[in-house]
Amino acid sequence: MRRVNHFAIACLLTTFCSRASAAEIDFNRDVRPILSDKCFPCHGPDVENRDAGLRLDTFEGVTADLDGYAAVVPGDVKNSVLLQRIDGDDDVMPPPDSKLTLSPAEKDVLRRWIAEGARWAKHWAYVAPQRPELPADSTESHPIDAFIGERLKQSGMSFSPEARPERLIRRATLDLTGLPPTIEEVDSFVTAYSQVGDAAWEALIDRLMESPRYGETIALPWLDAARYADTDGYQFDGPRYQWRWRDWVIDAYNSKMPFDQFTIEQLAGDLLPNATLEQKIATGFNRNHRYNSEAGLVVEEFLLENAVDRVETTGTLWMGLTLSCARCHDHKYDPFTQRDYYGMIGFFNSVPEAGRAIKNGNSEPAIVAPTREQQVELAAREQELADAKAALAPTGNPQHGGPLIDRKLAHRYPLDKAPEKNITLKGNPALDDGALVLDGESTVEISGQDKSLTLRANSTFSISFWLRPESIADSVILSRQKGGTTRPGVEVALVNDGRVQFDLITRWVAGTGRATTKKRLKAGEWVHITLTNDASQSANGQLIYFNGQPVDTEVTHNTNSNVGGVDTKRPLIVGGGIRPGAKNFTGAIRELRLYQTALWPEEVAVLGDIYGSDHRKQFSRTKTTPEYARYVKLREGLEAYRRTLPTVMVMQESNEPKPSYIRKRGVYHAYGEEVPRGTIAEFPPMEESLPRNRLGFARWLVSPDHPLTARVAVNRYWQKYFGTGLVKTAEDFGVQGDPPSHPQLLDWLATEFIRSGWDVAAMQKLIMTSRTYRQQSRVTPALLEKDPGNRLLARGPRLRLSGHALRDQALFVSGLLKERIGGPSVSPYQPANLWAEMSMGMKYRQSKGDDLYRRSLYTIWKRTVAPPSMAVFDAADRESCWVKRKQTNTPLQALTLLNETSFVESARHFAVRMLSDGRNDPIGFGFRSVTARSLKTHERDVLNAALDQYRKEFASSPKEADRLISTGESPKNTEYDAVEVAAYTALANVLLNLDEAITRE
Amino acid sequence: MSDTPTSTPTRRDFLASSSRGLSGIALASLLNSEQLTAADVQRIAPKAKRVIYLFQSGGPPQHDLYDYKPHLNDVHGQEVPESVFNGQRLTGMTAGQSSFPVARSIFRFDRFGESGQQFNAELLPHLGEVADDIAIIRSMHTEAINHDPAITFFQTGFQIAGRPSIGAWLSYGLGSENENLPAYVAMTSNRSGQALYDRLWGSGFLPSHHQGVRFRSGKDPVLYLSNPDGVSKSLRRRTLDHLSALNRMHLDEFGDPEISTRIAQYEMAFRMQTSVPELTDLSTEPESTFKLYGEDARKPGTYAYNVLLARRLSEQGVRFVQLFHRGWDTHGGLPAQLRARCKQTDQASAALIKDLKQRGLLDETLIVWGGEFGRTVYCQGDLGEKAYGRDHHPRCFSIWMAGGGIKGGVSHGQTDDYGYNIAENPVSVHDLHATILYLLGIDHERLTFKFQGRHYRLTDIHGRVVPEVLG
Repeated sequence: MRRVNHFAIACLLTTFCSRASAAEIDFNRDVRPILSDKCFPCHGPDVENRDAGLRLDTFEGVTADLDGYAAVVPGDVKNSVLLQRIDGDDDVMPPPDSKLTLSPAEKDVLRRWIAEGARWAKHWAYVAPQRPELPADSTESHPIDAFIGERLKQSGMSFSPEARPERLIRRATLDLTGLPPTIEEVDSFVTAYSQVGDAAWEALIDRLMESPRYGETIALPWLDAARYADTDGYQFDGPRYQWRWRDWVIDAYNSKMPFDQFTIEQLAGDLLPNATLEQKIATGFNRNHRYNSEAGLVVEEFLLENAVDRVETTGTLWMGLTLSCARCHDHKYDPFTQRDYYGMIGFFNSVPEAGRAIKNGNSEPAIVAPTREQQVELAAREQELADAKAALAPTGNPQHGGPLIDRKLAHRYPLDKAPEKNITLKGNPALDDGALVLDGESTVEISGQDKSLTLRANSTFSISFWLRPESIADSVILSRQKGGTTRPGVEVALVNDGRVQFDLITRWVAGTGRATTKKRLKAGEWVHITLTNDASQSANGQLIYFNGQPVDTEVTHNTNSNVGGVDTKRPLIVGGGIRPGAKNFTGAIRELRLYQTALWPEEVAVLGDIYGSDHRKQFSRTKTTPEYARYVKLREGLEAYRRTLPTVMVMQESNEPKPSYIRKRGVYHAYGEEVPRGTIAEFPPMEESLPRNRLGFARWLVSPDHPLTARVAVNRYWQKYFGTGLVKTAEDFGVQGDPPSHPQLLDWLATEFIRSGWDVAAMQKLIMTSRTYRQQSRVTPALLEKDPGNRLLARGPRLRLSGHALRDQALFVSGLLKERIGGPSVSPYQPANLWAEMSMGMKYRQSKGDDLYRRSLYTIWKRTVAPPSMAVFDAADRESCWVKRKQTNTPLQALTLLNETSFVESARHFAVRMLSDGRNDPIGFGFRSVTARSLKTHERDVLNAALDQYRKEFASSPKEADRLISTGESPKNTEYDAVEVAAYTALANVLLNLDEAITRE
Repeated sequence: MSDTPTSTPTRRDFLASSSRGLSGIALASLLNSEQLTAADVQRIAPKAKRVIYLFQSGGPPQHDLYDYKPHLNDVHGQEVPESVFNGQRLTGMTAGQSSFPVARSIFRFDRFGESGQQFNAELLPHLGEVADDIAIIRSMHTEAINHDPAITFFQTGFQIAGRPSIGAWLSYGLGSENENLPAYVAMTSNRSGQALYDRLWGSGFLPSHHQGVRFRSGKDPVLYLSNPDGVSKSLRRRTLDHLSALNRMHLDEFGDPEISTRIAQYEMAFRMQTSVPELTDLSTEPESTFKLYGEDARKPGTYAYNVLLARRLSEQGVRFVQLFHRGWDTHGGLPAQLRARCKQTDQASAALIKDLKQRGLLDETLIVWGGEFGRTVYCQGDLGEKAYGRDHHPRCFSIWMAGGGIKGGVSHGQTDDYGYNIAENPVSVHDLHATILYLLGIDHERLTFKFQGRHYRLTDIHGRVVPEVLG
């Protein structure tokens, strides 16, 4: 297929250039957008919904012989039926009920295209970028400037002069560190720049990139795109803990990880050989999506939704594709089939996940993810334990200490003699052979258990007993449950010809953990059974042992999202339960034991040893050796320590790969044919050598011949610096997306990115060293008239700071900012009851001390009630992947900056800094701190007059002054006169609200 | 359907246009595809100018409120026949039940008004007084069976989060009538019950200034409205004067129209600091108002207070006011819970109709009452004599509409004897949306926004206006 890379001709920006005036029709630029937008909905790639068998998305399609005529006959305007139909009165196309119309100019383009031979080309974005030659006659030394300059020249425009050095350093510092420069940094740069020019500029960029703030700042758009948040979303929106993944991202940027590695580790770090903890943490990326814990949900539906989110996020973030369209039908515009879509689902659906989220905490699969400091302590504790264990050697000899069978024993019911207290007999249970014998009618109810023995999904416990079933027919062996239809509690039953089923229920059937043994019991044989629960709220943590040995189980329900409902006062029923229709147990049972811990396997082994055997007798004693006591203490200590360690939800592969099926109309239970894992047929295929899993998929994404990955990434970087990407629709590179403003530059940057070894930092530096980046952002009426959206970049962009940067800047200039990389999210000031009014009981607990002043990146993000002072500034909502920049202006933003506690508290500290650090010229110091530049005389006059007025006002109302300078939790300054501090606080409030302060110019 | 083009009303935005000072051509290109004009969308003569949507979150039980089913008395306690279920899905909460007994309603139903509208006579006496003004739709249905997808579907036309809410669509399509107030205001009441989310009134992929602004009860009805402690109104005025003077100097040098937007943005904020407290100050309301709406209307944060505030906001030209009252999720102990909800809402809901009527505003204000789905005819949990519960039910449920363009006294659609399936005239969520838009003069197929290459609509690719409820 012919490559199309000669966009640069004439006028490109169709928004303000008439297409009709272009010298020559370019298919990709001029024709496809019309066909796509107006015709593809009924005559596009979607087979199911294609009308009249006519497709206009391929050359074969448009020129196909349809019973003697064709939609398009190249070069033949008269016989091209397409032209007749779009001009016709009858059966006009597009039909009126489509509400789509063609403008005269669009019709003219189609006519001229056909007249000129109807040349066809593949969509530009689906052809791998080739490195273009730099414009030959350009005098610009920087490649970016050569491309930008050439386009400007063609449009009769030229670069704006360079911004003043103090603005340059503010721009660069905000861009790379999210904070303004200090006055000292400005002074030193201005001097260096005047002396050594470009070398000083490069040195500045290098210095900024070496700062750990660089990683924090450049991570932010990635967190937006990765829909990173501190809660699950959906209606309950309970807490989750993914900050270890967030810190991984910051760390990856700060350690200058190349983009291909960054990609592979996040998509498939767990599948790398000998994957490290960090590589596993990286895969948290694909667990950042929302996750529903609603009781009424259908698990199958949300297993699909989770995979859908992963595919769509990956599609948008790496490929700029709108894959979601192909969920329900073949894509209407782009050549992706529903088959492609479910082929990709296959990479992302094979995860051992429950389908219903844990309401409070991380849902499986999750791993313990200690920080570096914690890893050191963990290793030390593990070593200590290993040493203590070695001291027990040779193991198995009780003289050296060994497993106890009474550790954390809460209750022991021998059931070998006449009943004692708290025991109620129902029916006629018998005692025989030192065991309780049940006839299928009788049960024994035991009450009065320790209340701490909750038998809940999130508590550790063990139940053990000897059992000799008379019959292996379905029956309940024991249970402790509340009545009603929801039956919260525990039930152990024989099912399916002797299998042992272990149910932990919060609400049947929506909240149930069920593990069932694959092995069957035999009638008439004694067996020792132990059930343990590890408090993970996962049915995978419900283990079953026969005769002291773990047995394989099958998990058929795993939806214990919450743990409520269980009533600890209910009696334990031996031999029966409350499940409607369930039979009672027939057979013998003895030595029932309840523990408050999940017994260790070696303990269960002793417990399950032959009853009365010497070995068991030796170990079943309550006294122990000092060595063993020490070992137990260390092991329990280690277990307790592990529970305090952070966890992170990660990707894992199911033991058995889960198949992927086409879902008709995208509906989860409308199964179509099974499809193998695969990528988009239209794109270069995965190499044969690549595994058909996420790892292969990730490597395919970053293979050099992938048409989109590099383009999409550099476009997002461009967007960061210029507000708009070279492709304006950063989220859509498909045929309905905007064509690039500078296609050759885009391809040059993409190929350069790959050539550099996907060096992210180098790409930032490349952009920032251009003349294009360094232009001043002054707007003239002429520039505004010619290029209001500044797509041609004859000037630098002015971008309003993000909500994050605005708050960070205020904290920084005031000296309040507390910098510390990473850690759990923090909860700065927030209006009272904001969460309470909306959510189901989740309370906002405001942080204390330093955590009130951390960078905004670390502010807790509750998806359904986002931090208001960031949401109001167009922050991405973290509900789903978001890659585009929004910038709107509302009065609510002004109210936030003027009145929100953090901003006012910052103003009062900023005031004190003006009076102390800036004592020679407080106003000048304050102004420079936020704008980096010096005051002009007329500006100084305004601020001087302002200060006088504020002083007078507070002098006449000192109480008000005192109230203002007490805002926030930090101590009030007492060194300076309260009226003076208050007046400067009002002034600082003005400075922090200056358009120049809240804009990166 | 009449397609009379109307004169283009002046569209105003809550934000100052970021295009001040641009010439026509430049403006057109800047706004390209991101802004609509009323002429683009309003091609039908509008019947209503504003909407007040009384959202009852949680899923009100239709069998106990609006959809009287005498047959249930005969089959009370019996299993729902398989022919009624017809293989439809149940929620995870009752899918595990071993029995699905029919639960009749314990409430007395009656007919009201000249039209003879029939509904719960014990719990909705006030609504009875305006029965001839409301149109009841008993054949609403939705696709979603759980709260989040269902309420998201009602608010955005799609079950999965991410699309603009209906109020944001209207802000985008019609703008605001009052440039000092947002086009879309949301309010919540009753802290217990199903959660609500900011995105329910969010702007999705539309520019963010179209998102609904939540009005809260208390000192700051709008977040950060009040000046900090120690800053008087006069001082605030002075600081804004100085800020404006400095910003103007900067504008002179930089020429970016965004700077004039910024100046206007701060002035508008200042005006809101006066106008919003005036709006929320109910002390100017006469005693008769509280007689009408009930004593609750004096208490900030109650449903009645919010309804009264909605009337005041609507009067000031807020295009779309939406209340969310929580606590209709009657899984168990339904009678007591329903009594409590109706006690909180019946009087105020009816009062709104009466009040707008006496002010001559009912004709131009559309009122919608409804939740995100209905409830099952079968009992969830144990069926008692006086206590029962009902699970979520998407197949049919009831809502009502009144005011601008609605034919009062009408009831539309019917369900089967069990109130489980629709017997005739189904109305989908998209149909309801299409109808609301139609009443505002908008062809729902023309209110579009291009995102990710697609021309999105509130009604997705569906929606049909329901002519039977139109006046």
